Amino acid sequence: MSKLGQAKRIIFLKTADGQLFEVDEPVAMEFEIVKSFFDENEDAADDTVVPLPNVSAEPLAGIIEFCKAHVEFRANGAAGKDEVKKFNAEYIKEKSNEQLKELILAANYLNIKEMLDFLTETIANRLKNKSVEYVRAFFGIENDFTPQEEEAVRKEYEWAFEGVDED
Amino acid sequence: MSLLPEGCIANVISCTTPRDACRLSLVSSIFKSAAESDAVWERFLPPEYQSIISKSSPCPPSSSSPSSLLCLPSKKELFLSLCDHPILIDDGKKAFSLDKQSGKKCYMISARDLMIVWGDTPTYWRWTSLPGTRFQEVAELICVCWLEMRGKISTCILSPGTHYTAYLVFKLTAGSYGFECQPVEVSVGLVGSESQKRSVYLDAIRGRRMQYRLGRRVGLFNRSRSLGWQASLPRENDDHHPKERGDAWLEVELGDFYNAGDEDGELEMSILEVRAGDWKGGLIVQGIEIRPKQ
Repeated sequence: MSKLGQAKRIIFLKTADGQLFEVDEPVAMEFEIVKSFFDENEDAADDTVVPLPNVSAEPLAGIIEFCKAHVEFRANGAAGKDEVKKFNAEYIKEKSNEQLKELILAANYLNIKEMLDFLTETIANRLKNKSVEYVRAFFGIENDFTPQEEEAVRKEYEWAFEGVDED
Repeated sequence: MSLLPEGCIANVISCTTPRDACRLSLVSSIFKSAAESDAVWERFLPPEYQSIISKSSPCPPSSSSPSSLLCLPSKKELFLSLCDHPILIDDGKKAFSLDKQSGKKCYMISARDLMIVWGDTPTYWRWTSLPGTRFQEVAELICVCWLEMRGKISTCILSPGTHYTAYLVFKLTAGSYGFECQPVEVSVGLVGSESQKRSVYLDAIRGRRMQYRLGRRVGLFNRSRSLGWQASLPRENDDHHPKERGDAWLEVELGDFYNAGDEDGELEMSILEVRAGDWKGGLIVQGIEIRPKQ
């Protein structure tokens, strides 16, 4: 951890597609996976590059943007205030379903609790009252049920299939 | 592309509704497994469900103790049981259940827990037990001129952030009278603030038949107008007439209420017919039900 008066420490992260990111330490430490990397390698040199083999550059850039803003909110004592809600709403407004999915996968791998909770709720809101086909397309998931299994589930929860939104 | 782990999917599902969760189990086998997990259904149950169940008693005809619900193999089964089989709370004075679509708390206040004017006078009201009711006793109106019933429920036991509608759950006997063309005044509101009032009919079917007859006999028509008769025909699907509940009882809407959940208060519902003050009888009251607005 950087102490007062010391130069800000920069953490180097390398994505699956080979891009190198330079991230301020407090922001990188939001990622549980990065934090435990340094906890386990206490003598790691300052220019150590942390490999992130499951994350590509695009979602990582989005995650850094989110975490940076939230680290600042906390430093300014704005956590939980309207300012944060406004930022969060703006942040997801332009994100496609595909981007959201990439973000939650990456946030889950990096283990960033606050962002994961936020993305979980955002995705849940996009899935409410949607058809099964819509959700399969959203996650790019194949139906792996046999017709008999599918029929059985549909019958068991008949009441839950009425009046869903148009896709 | 790589798939979300099951725990992550379960977290997403637990931020939806019980209805969404059931539907999402059809997406794929990993979704089904996540959607049926205890982690998800624990979130749909009200936070205090264990204490509600431990203080409850069985609803007739069931005689098994509701505490056996806590031993059910999954939280989903527990949830669905609380939707389909209400349990009695508050010394049997209220019935508790969950709304299957949303998981919100629903209550029925028994007739015994209502304030009924003349309710203890056997010439006016009698207390009987009927099969197919949630409570030991129901109230049967023999005859009164002054009909007044009030029910109260504390808002802190309702689900927060929820629009509720209150209903009178009742039946009419074959010989009921006095409700055909006479509306009753009903209201819902917090004690100490202005309540929302409206007029409803308890006897729609006979009211309609009567109106037809009266309409043809012009002389009577005028008289009925002076008694507060409303000229419009009762329509199907309006909220001013009773509907069949599917359990052989009728219900009529008393009004609705938004429970923000940020302050404690007492919600009061009332049913009144004291204006015309004619004799009326043959009304059987099971109670007042409060459930989320559809």
